[in-house]
Amino acid sequence: MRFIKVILLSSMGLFLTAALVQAQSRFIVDINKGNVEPMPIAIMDLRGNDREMVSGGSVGDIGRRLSQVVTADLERSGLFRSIDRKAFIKSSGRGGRPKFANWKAVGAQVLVTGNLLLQEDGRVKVEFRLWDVLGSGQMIGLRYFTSPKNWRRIAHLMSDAIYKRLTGEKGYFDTRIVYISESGPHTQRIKRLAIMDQDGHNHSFLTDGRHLVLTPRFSPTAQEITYLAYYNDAPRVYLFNIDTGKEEILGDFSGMTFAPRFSPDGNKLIMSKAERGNSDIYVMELRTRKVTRLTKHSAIDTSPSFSPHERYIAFNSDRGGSQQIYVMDANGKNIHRVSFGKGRYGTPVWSPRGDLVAFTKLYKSKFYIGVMRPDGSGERLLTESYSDEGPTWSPNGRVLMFFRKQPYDKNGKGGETQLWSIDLTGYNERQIMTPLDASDPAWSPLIR
Amino acid sequence: MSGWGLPYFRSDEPVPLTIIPVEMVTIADVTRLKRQQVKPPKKTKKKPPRKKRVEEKMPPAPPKMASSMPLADVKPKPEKTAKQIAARSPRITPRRKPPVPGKFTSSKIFALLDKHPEEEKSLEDQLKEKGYDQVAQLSDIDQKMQTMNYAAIVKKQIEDDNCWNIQGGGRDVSSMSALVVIRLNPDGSLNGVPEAVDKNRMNRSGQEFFKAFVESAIRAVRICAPFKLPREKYEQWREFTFRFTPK
Amino acid sequence: MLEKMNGAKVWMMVGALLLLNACANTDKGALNNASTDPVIEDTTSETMGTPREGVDEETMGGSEAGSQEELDNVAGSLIYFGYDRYDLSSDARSALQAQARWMEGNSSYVTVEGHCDERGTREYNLALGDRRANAVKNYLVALGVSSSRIRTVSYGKERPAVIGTGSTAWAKNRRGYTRVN
Repeated sequence: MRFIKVILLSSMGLFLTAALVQAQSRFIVDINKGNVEPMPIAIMDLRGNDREMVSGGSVGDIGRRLSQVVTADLERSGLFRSIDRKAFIKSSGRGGRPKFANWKAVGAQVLVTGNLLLQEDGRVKVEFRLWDVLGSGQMIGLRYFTSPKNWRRIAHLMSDAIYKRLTGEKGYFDTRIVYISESGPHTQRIKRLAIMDQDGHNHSFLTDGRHLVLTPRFSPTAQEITYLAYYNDAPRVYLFNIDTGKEEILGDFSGMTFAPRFSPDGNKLIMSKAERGNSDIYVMELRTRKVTRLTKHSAIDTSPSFSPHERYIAFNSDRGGSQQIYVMDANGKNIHRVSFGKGRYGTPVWSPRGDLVAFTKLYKSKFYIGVMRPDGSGERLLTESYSDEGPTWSPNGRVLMFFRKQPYDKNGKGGETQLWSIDLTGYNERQIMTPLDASDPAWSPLIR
Repeated sequence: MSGWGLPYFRSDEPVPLTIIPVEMVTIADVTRLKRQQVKPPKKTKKKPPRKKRVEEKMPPAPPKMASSMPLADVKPKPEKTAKQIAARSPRITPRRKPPVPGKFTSSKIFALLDKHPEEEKSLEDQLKEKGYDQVAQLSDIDQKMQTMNYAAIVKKQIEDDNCWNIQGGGRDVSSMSALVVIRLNPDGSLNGVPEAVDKNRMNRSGQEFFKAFVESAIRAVRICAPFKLPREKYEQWREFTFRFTPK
Repeated sequence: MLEKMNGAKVWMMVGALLLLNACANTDKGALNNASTDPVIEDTTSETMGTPREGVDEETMGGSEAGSQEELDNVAGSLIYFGYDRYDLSSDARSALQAQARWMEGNSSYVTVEGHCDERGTREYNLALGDRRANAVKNYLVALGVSSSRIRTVSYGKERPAVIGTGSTAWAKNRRGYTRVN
């Protein structure tokens, strides 16, 4: 053994010297400057049989549409740029491994290929692979089974998988938006509850517009929406079951209840109640319907928002003299102000990532959508316009959707109200198309 | 922009690297070999086909559908030559055991030297472990100047050519940093696969950001290679480390 | 009849008559008749030959007692607030005093609506509208109107009265509206 130890030590000595000598010819290159450019991705049509028919077209049709939806999802995120199909070099591999050199030649860094196969039971099997073109290897390969009618969801699941693999972050494509669809004269606006996929498809109206509805929110766990509705001059919080279409008033309150949100675990509902001119924040346990009062102040206390682990609540209050953002513990203690910039702050919404609170800011006749850390530091304004309001977070905390209203001209024309989204980086501001005017968007969690 | 050194018109599949440098056994080599013998991680994409199936997940939402299952990696074509297979996993085959006296492989010795758990060590600690210094501590001023030159050349190339694409908005991206070691051929092209120093962290759960960040760095290196460095000084720049830190 | 009233009441009536006479647009004759006989027809005022002007004639012959129209005419149903305020200006208070008087003269029930301009976030405006509605109600109650006759509702910024961009339009939307049920 001792002999071994001697050899060991002498070898170690040899290596250490070598290491020191080697250190002379190694060096470190510091790279600090990168650019934020969309990653070039080539998305091939998913291959399917053009002669096999299912509802909605041939399997081949579905494959092509699927790829288009994935392409649109990824491009909409602003992080990807899809290579124009016309640039694809033919014979880039049928099954098996792609000819990476061809894909490199058209500038792709990653590649998506796949196929669909109709099964005997009428379902369709969708397979896809994501390839690292530069590194010449497969990054992910996944397989799905579903009814052909569900192909859109497969597309969004694919987008989520690709997004996650390449950014490290969960995606947000398999999600829905609930919002208020607006029409009619602005003095007597018709407002209807509406729901759609985050890309605007599969749109449907949930109420008929006879009663004013406002500020909807999704349940994180159930197929339920909560919102404010006016029946007989009595604005109250309601629950709406998406599956059954049934609407139910929440509780039996003597005063206006409004600003409802589900807690992140889906078990509670937090809201404001106004009594004799004073609005405070209350929490209701949904199973027991037990109500707890959280704020007791003559100021306006509203727009509450739970932190993701329900330890804290951010809310809007004017207890300091003007409309500002406060944070308190979930039991109502330790209330402290966190917004300190110039102007008024409203609609605080805690990011699902927990790291930021988004808000609406009013300053000198302009509206802004911004974010700040929960302690109020790091305030960053992302948008600015005549009227931007009501941010809602994508489930991965990277994108904010809000609504924007145009000013009126001297003749009273104008006032168009639409949904917009913007990335956390402040880039990629884009409008979300809706059939009519739109406001009060709320983003669902990932459907799965 | 790709720097494999292979002409594009070849119709069979491109291969990461066919050039296996002929190495003289110098002390430098031995030291490098010591490093190599740190167990290289099996890249998941190169695994043999997996039979593993993910269980069907039934989502609560009405549109019922997907069970997603990971697809096995597509098998490489059977016509692959042994050479190509070797090059596909360059880390495993080309590096021979060092001619160390006695029965001890350098891997064992290195294992003895390196007893730390592969935690998220600070960059400085990692560098020191692998034998680097913050700035090359050299008695020879000339050589020091030259390595700084090479660093500047390579840095300029990556930054000016906009090779590094960062994805903005990722959580913690502003506090991220990654070390990537690369080895080059005499013509400045990549020799083998660029490798993150903190490989284990990349594959841990919860570190998907770090993994994506490192991959963006590796992509940058692949895109920018070959690097325009003086061939006659090859020994001095054949291997070095990038430290990617976004500002 | 006059002999049956006590002295104070007589003076009050005389005073009232004098005051009424001081108003330019009253028809003496009609009023004199009004103090003794309820006037059902216009004919007696016609013979007086004085020009008829808006308010009193209408009250006599047009609006239902206790109706919205009557309220709008007699006291006005709208009062206005400053930006982000819910306190009552002196104008607002005068108008509300008239409203209270009107309510004393009938048994109507009202809903006070609180409204805001669009230069605020939706939920905060719902709360502010509620404050404004209650500020009006509280004042009316302080003036003697029974609280059970007054409901309140906030419409936030959902039902603007005037469509426009600019402080004039916005000012017209920051309002408390007393609506007869």
